[in-house]
Amino acid sequence: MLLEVKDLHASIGGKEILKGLSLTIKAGEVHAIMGPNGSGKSTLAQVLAGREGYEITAGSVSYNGVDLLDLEPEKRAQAGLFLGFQYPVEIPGVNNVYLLKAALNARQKAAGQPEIDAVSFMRLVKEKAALMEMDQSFLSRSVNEGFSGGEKKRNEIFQMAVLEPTLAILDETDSGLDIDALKVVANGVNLQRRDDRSVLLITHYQRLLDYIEPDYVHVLANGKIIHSGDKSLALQLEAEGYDALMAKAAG
Amino acid sequence: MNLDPNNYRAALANTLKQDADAGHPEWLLPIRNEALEKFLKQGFPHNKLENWRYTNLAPMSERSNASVAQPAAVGDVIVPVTDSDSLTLVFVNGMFSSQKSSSTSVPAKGIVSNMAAQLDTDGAEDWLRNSGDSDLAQLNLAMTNDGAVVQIPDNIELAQTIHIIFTNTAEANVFPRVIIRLGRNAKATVIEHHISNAACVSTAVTNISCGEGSRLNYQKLQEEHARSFHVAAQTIKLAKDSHCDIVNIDLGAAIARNDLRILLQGSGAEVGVNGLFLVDGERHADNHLHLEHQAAHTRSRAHYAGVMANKGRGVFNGMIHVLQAAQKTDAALNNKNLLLTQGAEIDTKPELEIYADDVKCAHGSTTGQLDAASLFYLRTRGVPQQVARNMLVQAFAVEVVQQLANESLREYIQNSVEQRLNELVAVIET
Repeated sequence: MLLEVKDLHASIGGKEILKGLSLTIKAGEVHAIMGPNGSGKSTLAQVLAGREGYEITAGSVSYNGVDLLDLEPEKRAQAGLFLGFQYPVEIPGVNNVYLLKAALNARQKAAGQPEIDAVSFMRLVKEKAALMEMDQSFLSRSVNEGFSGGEKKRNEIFQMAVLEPTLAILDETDSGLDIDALKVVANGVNLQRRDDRSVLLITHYQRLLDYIEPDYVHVLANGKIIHSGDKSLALQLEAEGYDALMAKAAG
Repeated sequence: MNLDPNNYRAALANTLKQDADAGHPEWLLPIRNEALEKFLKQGFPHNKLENWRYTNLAPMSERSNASVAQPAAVGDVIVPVTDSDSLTLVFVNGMFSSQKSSSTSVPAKGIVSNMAAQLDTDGAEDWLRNSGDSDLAQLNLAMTNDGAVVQIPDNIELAQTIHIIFTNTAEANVFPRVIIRLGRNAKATVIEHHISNAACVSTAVTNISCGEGSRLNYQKLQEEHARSFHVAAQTIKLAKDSHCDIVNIDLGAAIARNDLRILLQGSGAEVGVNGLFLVDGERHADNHLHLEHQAAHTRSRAHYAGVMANKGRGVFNGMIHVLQAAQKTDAALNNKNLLLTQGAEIDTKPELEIYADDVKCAHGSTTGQLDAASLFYLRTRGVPQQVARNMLVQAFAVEVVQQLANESLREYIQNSVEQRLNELVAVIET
C-alpha cells in the first residue's frame, strides 16, 4: 500500500473542510478525485503536501508505511511525494535550474546518495525539458516568473519529470489550459506512468481524464468521498452532473 | 553633544604641519581652517535634525572626539579582490600606499592618482573647495590626509576598472575623499571600496562630475568592521546627455550612513541607482538619496533593497525633487525591504517634490517577510526549509549585486553577500 488515508478530518481557521476522507492508492495506480468547487479537493492536496495552517483534527495518512502527517513538507518530497500546484508560484530571482538542482541534491542526500554531477544534471534537465516540449531558455529563467498559465503547468510536469516522484498529486493541472497545452501536459504525465509510480489527479472536469486514463475515479463532496468507481464514473458525472450524484448519496 | 574644539584644533594643527612638511600648496591652509570652524560651529548632526531623525551619531562623535587621531601604524592590511586589469589605488588608515597600489598610468593626460600627489595640478583648489555643504564634509575637508583623484579627459574611454580601496587596520579616524571628473564623452568604471578589520571611524566624501555625454559606472562598497562607523556624503553632478550607473552596497559597520545627492543638471542626463543594505545584530544603516532633476528630459531610476534581521535597523529616505525647469522628467524610485526576524526595523520614506507640470514620477516602498507561498512551493520540491529561506533572501538581494559591472568584483561581492545572508538566515528562529 503506497498511500492510505483514513477518516481524515482537517480544518482551517476553525472551519472543517475535510470531514472523514478515506482513500487508498497502490503502487502504479492512477486515481482521479473529482468534485465540485469547495468540496475540499485542493485542501486534500495541500494537506498531503504539508502546507502549514491546516489543523488535522482526526484520522491518519500513511505513506509507504510511515506517518506522512509527521513529516515536514521537504521530507515528504524527499520521500517521493510531488505536488503539482493549481497555481504555481512565481519566484523572481530563483532560477528553474537552480531550484531543481537544490531539490535533486536534497533528495540524493536524504537517500544517502552523492550529489549529482553537473554534466549528468544538465543532461537530465535538458532531456526532460525536451519531453515537455519546453524551450531551453525556460531553464535559466526565474521560477514561473512571467510564464503564461500553460507554461506554468507545463513547468510543473517538467519538474515532476526531473524529480521522478513515487506519488504525484496533480492539483487541477488542466485548469487554464487550452486543448493543445492540455495534450502536451497530459502526454508528459502519461510518459511518466510506471508500475512503481502512482498519480492522484485532482480535477473539476472530466476533460483531463480523456487524456490521462485513471484506474479509479472518486467523487469528493462536502469533505468526503461519496462514491468511487472506475473511469466510467467520470463519464456518468459529466452526463448527470454532481448534483444528481450528491442527491443520490444523501438520499 | 560634547565636542571639545581644542581636540579638533590640535588635530588640525598637526595636519597643517604635515601639509607643510609635505610641501603642499599654501592655499590649503585657509581652506582647512575655514572648514574646521564651520564644522565646529554645527558639530555632529543630531537626532533633532529632520534628516538625522533615525540615526544617532553620538557614539561616533564620542569616539571621534576622544581620538581625532593621526593615522595609526599599519597592521594586517586586507585588500579585497582586485583583478589584474584594474587600476588600483590603496589607502591604508587614510594614507596612500604606493606599494599596494598598481601602476596607474592613464592615456592622454588623464589622472588616476592619490590626491596628495596632485595638489599642484590646475584646478586642485576647486576640487577641494567643492566639498558639498554637509557639516561632516567640512570635517573631512579639514582633516583629510589623502584620497583618490580620477580625471578622464574628453573623449577618452578607460577600459580598465579603477578600484579605489580604503582599508583600515586600526581604531583610528579616517577621512577618505574621492574626486571623479569625467570630460565630455569620457567613459569610466570606478569602484570605491571601504573595508576594515578594526573599529575605525570613517567620514568619507565623494565628489563626482560627469561631463556632457559621458558615461560613468560608479560603485560604492562598504564592508567596514562591525564596530566601526561609516558616514559618507556623495555628490554627483550630471551634465547634458551624461549617464551614470550607481551601485551602493552596505554590508558592514555598526552605523553606516550614506547621503547620496544626485544633481541632473543638463537635459538628457540619466542616472540609475541600485542600493542594497544588510543589517543584522545591532547594526544600523541609513541611506538618504536625493535626486534633483534640474533640467528637462532627465531620467532617474532608483531601486534600494534592504534586509534586516535581529535588532538591525534600516533607514531609507529617498527624495525625487523636480525643479520647475525640469519638464518631461521621468523618475521612478522604489525601496523594498525584507524583515527576517521580529525586532528588526525599517523606517522608509520615499518622497516627491515636484515643481514642473509635465513629468512622470513614481515612487513606492514595500516591506514584508519572506513569502509563505514561495517558501512552501520550494519545500514541496524537497528543498529544506533553511535552504529555501536562503534562496529567497538571496534572490531578493541578487538583483542589486548583478548590477556590478566588473566580473571578478561581482563574484567577490556575491560571495560576501551570500555569506552574510547565510548568517542572517541562520538566525531566523525555526
